[in-house]
Amino acid sequence: MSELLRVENVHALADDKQILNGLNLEIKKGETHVIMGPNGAGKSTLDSVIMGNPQYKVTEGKVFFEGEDITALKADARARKGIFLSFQTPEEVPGVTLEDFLRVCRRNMTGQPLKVFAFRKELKALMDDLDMDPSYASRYLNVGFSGGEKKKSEILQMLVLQPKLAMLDETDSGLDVDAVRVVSKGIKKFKNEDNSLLIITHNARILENLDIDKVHILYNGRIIKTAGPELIEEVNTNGFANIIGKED
Amino acid sequence: MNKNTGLSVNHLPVLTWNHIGINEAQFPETELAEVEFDACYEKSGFGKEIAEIFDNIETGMGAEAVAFTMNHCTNPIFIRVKEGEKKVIEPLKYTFADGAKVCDVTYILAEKNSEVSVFQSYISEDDTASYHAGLTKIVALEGAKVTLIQTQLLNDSSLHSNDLGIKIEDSAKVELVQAELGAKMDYVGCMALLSGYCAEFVADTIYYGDEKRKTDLNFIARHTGKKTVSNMKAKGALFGETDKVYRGTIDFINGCKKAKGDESEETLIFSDKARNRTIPLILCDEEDVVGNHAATIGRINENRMFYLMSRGLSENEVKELVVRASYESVLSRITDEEIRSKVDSYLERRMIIE
Ligand SMILES: Nc1ncnc2c1ncn2[C@@H]1O[C@H](COP(=O)(O)OP(=O)(O)OP(=O)(O)O)[C@@H](O)[C@H]1O
Ligand SMILES: [Mg+2]
Repeated sequence: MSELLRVENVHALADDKQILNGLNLEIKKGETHVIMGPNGAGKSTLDSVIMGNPQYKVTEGKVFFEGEDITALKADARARKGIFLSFQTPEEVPGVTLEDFLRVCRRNMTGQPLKVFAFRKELKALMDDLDMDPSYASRYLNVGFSGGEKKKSEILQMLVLQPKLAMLDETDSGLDVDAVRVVSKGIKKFKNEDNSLLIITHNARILENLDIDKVHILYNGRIIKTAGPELIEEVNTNGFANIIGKED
Repeated sequence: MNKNTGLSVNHLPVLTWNHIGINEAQFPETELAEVEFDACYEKSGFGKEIAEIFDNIETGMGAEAVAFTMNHCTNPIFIRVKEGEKKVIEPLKYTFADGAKVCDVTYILAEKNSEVSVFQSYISEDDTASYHAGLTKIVALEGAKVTLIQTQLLNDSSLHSNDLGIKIEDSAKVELVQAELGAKMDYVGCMALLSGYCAEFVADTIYYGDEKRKTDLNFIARHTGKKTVSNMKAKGALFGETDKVYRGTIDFINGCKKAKGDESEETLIFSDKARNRTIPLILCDEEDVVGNHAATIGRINENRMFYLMSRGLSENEVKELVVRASYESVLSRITDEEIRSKVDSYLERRMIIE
């Protein structure tokens, strides 16, 4: 299987604070990876750096996507190459309805004019799958959405944009039991042999329906351990102390 | 009148030392044939009593602008909506070409419990320097509802002044919706006198500053009636070397008990060379009132920019999306299809930026 993402020895800082310290990660096409790690370890920062958030400065190392060095690319260019980030805390955008926004994004991605009715139908079906009230399509993007509704809105955006690599940053946090099931079904439906997932989670429930290829422990801005899905169970029972202890 | 500097307009209701230089503004005059406005008036059929009400209405730009526009009036328009009637007036569309000069004076009288909607649009058809001075006065009698929608898309060499004087009586409501998007000088003055019990005034204005445009806005809501309500919003985006002044005054006059006034301004700034000055004033000559001022001025929040870019929109596309979003409440009110599509293509053309 061929390589999709490669993060090579990345060092990154924000506000002169070193957050990533020589981080390495490789994801092949079709794989599902999970990242776990204590609060403040740098997990969201890693996603941000892969997505191209200018708030984080990469001082050393490189990010490759489908073999191409994308370290210097802006976020929109990366998105158009097929990278997607479901935000831990999605932004609210007053004045732009969810439907209009998705339509602009889709048209922008494909470069094709869009058939409004067909798109509306597609959107309605996706929202049904995610147990979202169709009225949300005409609400302003994430404005006044509850925490869980915002996460569903992120997954909806992922389903509309069909990226090659979807990074999900704590998409399950803030979701009730039923919502986790609905969302993880949505993720399962999205997943195929060609696209890949990078999932950050503190909770194994969202992973239940998925075939996990690798689990990484991120600590102090680096991946300190990589193993198979059995690592999730170990973290859930014993916490990070053991793993981190070996590192220190 | 000072011939060198032009008309003195858009005065703050009180002179303030710390706003020296922008306590008022100047708007040029132009050469135009003089007319006797009274002759136009006679044809209106308004009658003496009503004419007097209109004559006494103060405007936002002030007496010099009123005198100039009336004395050079090219297009007098009188709209009278009878008691209980409901009317949508045929759109008043002014197109400017070959250096056209227009001074339009529009008087709108909404009688008791009537409803009227008026639409004015000012658009350039070529690149020549045009001149527009508009004066619109509105009298809303008891229980009347007036909606005035205005769009302005003049070219970069044209001068535009838009002067409004509004009187709102018992339980009447006037709503002003403005898209002020073009011209070399874009000057707007609006004075709403809320004289009746429970009178209501709403203004929603969008402006667009780019290149060297000078935008000068002066809004005053003067509350004299009890339980009167005003809400004035201005939203705009500034690019290039544009220079914008916004004066927003809520003037609570003694006796306007339980009156409520809100004013808010949202300014998105996209250029270091753009100049933005805002003077919010709340004058309280009455204690039993509530006045609010809110302002959000600045650049697009960087988290929001990253969020939207992560969905594949370029920086410029995000800017356009965000500007359009802030304009949405006004744009959605421009239902005339021809004008709406001109507004959309104007914005699209102008926002290919930096
Ligand atoms: N823009 C920033 N400026 C300064 N410090 C930052 C910035 N972003 C992140 N940090 C700091 O970097 C560290 C890593 O943050 P990050 O959000 O990546 O953690 P995380 O692993 O996602 O944690 P959590 O599990 O709580 O979401 C934290 O100490 C955080 O305070
Ligand atoms: Mg995080």
